[in-house]
Amino acid sequence: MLNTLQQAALLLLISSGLSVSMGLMGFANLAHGALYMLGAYIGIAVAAKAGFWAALLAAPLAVGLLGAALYLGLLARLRGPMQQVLASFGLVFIAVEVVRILWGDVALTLDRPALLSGSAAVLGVDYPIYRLFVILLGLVVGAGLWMGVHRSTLGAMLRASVENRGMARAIGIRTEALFLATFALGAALAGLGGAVAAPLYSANPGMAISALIPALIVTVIGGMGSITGAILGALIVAGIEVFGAALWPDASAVLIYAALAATLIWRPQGLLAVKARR
Amino acid sequence: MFRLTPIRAAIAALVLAALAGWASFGGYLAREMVAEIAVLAILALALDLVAGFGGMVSLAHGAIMGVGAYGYALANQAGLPPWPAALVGMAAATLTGTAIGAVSARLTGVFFLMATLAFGQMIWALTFRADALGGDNGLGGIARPPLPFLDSGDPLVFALYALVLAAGCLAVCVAVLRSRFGQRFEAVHDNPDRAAALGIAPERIRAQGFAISSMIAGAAGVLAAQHMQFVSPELMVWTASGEVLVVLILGGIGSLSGAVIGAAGFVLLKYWAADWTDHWHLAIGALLIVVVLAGERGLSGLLEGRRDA
Amino acid sequence: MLELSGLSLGFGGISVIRDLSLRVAPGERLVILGPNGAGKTSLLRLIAGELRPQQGNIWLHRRDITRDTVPSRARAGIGRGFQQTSLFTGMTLRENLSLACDGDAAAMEQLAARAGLTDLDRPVAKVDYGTARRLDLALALAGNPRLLLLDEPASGIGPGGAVDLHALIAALPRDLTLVVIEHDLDLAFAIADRIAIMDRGRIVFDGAPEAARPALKATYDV
Repeated sequence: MLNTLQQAALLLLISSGLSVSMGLMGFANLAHGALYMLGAYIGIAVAAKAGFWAALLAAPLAVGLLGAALYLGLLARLRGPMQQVLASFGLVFIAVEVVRILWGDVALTLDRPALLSGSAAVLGVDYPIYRLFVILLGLVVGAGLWMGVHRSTLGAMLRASVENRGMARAIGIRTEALFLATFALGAALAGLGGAVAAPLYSANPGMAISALIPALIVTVIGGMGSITGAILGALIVAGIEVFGAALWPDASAVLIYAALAATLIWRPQGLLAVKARR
Repeated sequence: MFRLTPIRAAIAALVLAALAGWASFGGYLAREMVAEIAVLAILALALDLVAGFGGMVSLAHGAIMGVGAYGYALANQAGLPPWPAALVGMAAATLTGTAIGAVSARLTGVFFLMATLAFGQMIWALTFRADALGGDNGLGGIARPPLPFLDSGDPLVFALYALVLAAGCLAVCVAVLRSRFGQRFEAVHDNPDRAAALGIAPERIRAQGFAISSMIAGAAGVLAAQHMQFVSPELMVWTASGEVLVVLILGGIGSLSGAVIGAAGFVLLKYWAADWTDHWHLAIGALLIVVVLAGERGLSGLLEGRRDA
Repeated sequence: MLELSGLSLGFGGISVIRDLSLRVAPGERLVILGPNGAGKTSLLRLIAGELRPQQGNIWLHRRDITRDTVPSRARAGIGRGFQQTSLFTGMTLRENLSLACDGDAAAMEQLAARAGLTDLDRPVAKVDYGTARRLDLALALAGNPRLLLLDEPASGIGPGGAVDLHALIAALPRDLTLVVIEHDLDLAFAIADRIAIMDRGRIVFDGAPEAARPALKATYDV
């Protein structure tokens, strides 16, 4: 149960970023896993010099800035989802090679900070404090995003811009700046996810690909552009992963994809889509 | 709409002839590479059929090809001679593609992409887990087909046999696109609403196109199994499908000849770059982005010049 | 021929078509008039099968087609022209026509002549809008439909072109049933046997063209 929650919180950290860029902006970003990977590596590098807490701050910042630069330099020029898929796929190749050149193929790990090491008794079980921290962080990010999208003026402006870009522009919303900020936020969340995941799982170049698929699944299952949906999707996918692995190990890998396929066929817009979209 | 312009036919013929020449006069490595190019070219042709002409960008084609390869391997192990076993492999791939197409054809764009990703990964995960299929070790000891008067165990003979198959698949694709079905398939991509108003059912046509493409992908799988004489789940992971998509984009999508050029260019680049760097994917990634920004016409677009396709 | 009974259509609380019933006899030429937002195009889309009504039924030749898809209605004899031309823009005129005629070359030549289309090897993306309009009409006529649905067939091509196109429509065989939406009153009266006026999802007038003029005054406040 706690494992499911922790897995869900981590998935949420990764996929909320994707839900923001893919769901809110309709941007199919295959490079999201690569941003997550960069977050982990930058986190490890910063932590080695300045400690874990600095890394937790620096990783999302650096990846967010990188996301902004990518958006300005490349992604904003693309038209249509297929171009986005292909160009971001190209970015995956580049990011993976850059990481291999800078850090090598060996998996790197990050030590947990002293404050969060050890374990605590929760509901009668000993549970590592760091994992509790991940759950908490997931909750905070989820709640913050939900507030930001659904309860703030900025969120309303963003939703309006996605709905009808021309109209939003006509009423004075600076859509380009808004999209830039949104994409950078999505990237920063991926970076944060990477840094948080680094002490739990080692960082390696393969994670650009391996993290992408669950994040995509969470986003599609939950419904693009819906933060509540992303939370629900993260819980479902984490539940399938954790319980499936325990109860029916042979089928757990298949089950996740089956859930994705079933969602796409039954409700292509996701379980909690903001609006019907083709 | 597809037009087999003289320049496209010439490009494809020239590339195939050059590969045949290279296999004949090159060494063992050249012959192995030519066979590899032929496999990749057939798979890229299959993908071009659906993605380039039907707008159905599939990330399941690696898995479908894998079904063809495993179908051939299992039928062969069960005692079937190579040629009937090849038919079994292609039939298995076609059936798989028919099933995927039937449920995914109503989705478009990124949703279709995600659905094919899901089905492809399901096939991969099942194969990976199945002990009867050798799990992640794969299956070995697969026979090559007997050819009249020739020994298919000889690398040169096999390379030429593979090229003939690739040329045959290219001819099949041309025939499909020129047929009434092919016209409808492209029409449904061009304007599904108008097609429906003319009595053409878009979903059915798209599903049928996906099934035909899967049969060709199955042929690529059979050839791959015969070439390596070994199959493993690696064929089926979605990144393998993604790589074929890259090949197609670099070669030029929606031209058929681009699939052949892309496959040749990709394999050559891979071997050439592997000699001096481990990081050749860096160049592939950059190239992919450049081609996408330039309008996705790829190498074949470059060769054809800037005329309107 | 065509019978609509008790059709209702709404999108999330907004009623577009309200309890609408209508009968069209074989060979009749019905023109639908009405202000913007009256539900004219929605009605046409319901008949073509692009929208499904929440209530009511649609009958074609005494067969209930309410649940039929667009392609199966097309095969049952419904031809459709679009308000904004809907063509295969990646193809030439000839390829468009050939596709619509299912490869029948003789039928294709006949169709081209009927719609006044020449120089068929031009790509559709490069023809003028008048030609695109004619092609849209030709595609609607392909396969010899028994019921032709046209949504402002002459919109966007200027007065001269519109008159030409309407002459073309007027010259269609008398046994072909027409349901046409038209904004231009002169053009409407030129082809109509019967006129229906829609307002806010209902038919507020249905009768002979000469009787329609007073009703039009009331609807349009002219």
